[in-house]
Amino acid sequence: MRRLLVLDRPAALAYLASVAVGLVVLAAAGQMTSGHNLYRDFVRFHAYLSPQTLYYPTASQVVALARETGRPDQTLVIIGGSSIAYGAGQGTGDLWTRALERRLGDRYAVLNLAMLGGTLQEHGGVAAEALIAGGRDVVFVGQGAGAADGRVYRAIVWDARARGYLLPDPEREAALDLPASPQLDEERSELRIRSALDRWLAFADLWTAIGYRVGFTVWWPGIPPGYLFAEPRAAFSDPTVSLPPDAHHPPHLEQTHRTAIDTLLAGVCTQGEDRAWKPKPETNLGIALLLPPALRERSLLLVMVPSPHYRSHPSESAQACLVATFAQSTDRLRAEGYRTLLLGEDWTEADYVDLLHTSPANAERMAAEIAEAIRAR
Amino acid sequence: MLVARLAIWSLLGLTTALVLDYALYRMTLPVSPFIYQAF
Repeated sequence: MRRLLVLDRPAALAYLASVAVGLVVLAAAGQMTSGHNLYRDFVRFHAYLSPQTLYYPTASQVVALARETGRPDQTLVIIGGSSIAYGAGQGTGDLWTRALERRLGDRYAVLNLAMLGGTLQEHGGVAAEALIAGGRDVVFVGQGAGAADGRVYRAIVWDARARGYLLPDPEREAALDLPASPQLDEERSELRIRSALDRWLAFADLWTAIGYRVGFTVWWPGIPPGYLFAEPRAAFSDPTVSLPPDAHHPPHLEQTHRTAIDTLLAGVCTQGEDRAWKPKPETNLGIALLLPPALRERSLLLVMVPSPHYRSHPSESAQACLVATFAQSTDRLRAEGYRTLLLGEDWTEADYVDLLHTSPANAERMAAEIAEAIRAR
Repeated sequence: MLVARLAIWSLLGLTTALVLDYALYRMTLPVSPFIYQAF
C-alpha cells in the first residue's frame, strides 16, 4: 500500500496535471452554468436568495435571468434599488411589481431585482446595462443611490465589470479609480482581484448554482425552523409577509423616525420672518447618482416622500416645505437627465407601513402611478 | 503498480482541484460588515 503513495516523478506529474485538468473542468462547468437562467418561478431576491443569508447571485446569473424574462418583443421593466422598490412589507401576493405587470399589459414584462439595502447601481443596474448593450428595450425603475459601484452589494458591480456587462462610462471609471476611505479602497482592491480570478475560473457561478439547485455549502445565520442550512436555496420560499395594519408604524421606531424627520426639516427648511417655513436656497436632499448616459435616458427614478405619520411638526407650512424639498430634488435629478417620479406627495398614513415603505393596500396605487409614468415615456 | 500509483495521484490531484476551487469561492465571498447594518 505504501508503495502506491510514493511520490516519484511520474506520480508528481500526474498529480499536477490532474490539478490543472480539474481546475479547467470546474471552470468550464462554472462558465456553462453562467449562461443559463438558474431561477425557477422567480419573483424577487428574497432573504434566502440574498447576501443576507450568504447567497450571492452572480452578475452572470442576474443577466441570464433578465435575458430570459419576457419575450424579445416586450419592453422589459427592470426594477432596481432598495427595499422600497423590493416591496418590503408586501408579501408576494400583494407585491407592487406584480400589480405593475398586470397594469402594463402584454407589451411589457417586469423583473424585480431590487434588494433590501440595495442601490440602483447593483443588481438591477447591472442587468439593465447588459440588456441595453444587447439591444433589448429596457425601462429601468427604482430608488436608492450609492457610489459608482453601489454600496452594500458592490461585489456584483465589480463582477459585471470584469465580465464586460457594463456600458462604457468614463465618468464611472474615473470615480472608481479615485481614492476613498482606507476601508473602501481595501474592499475595492479585493473585489478587483476576486472578479479577475472569477472571470476565468467561474467558481462563484459554479458554487452558487450548486447552492441553489443541489445543496448550500455555507452555514448561515437565521435558518428557519424545520430547515437545514445545507438545503438547496430553490427549496426556500419568500419569507416576506404582508404587514397587517396593526403592525404598521411600529412603536419601537417611532422616536427614531420622528427625530429623523425633524432633523431633515431643520436641514432643508427655514422659518422666515412671517413664521412661514420655506425651502432653504440650494436645498439638496443629497440624492447624488452616477448612472451611464445610456441607462440614465431609460431610467425612471422614484423619489419617496416620508409617511405623514412621522411629520410631527405642528406647522402646516413646515409640513408643506418638507414635501416641497422632495419635489425640488426630483427637479434637480431631471436637470441631470433623469426621468423622475415623486411618490407619496398626497398619500396618507395608511399608505405606508413605516417611514418609507408602501403598505400592501397601497401597492396597487403605487403600481398605477408608476405604470402611467412608464407609458408616458 | 505504476498505473495504480498514477491513478491514485491523479485522483488526489482532482480532489485538490475541487478543494482549491471551493476554497476560492469561500475565501472570496464578499461578506461586507455593512450588510447586517443595512437592514
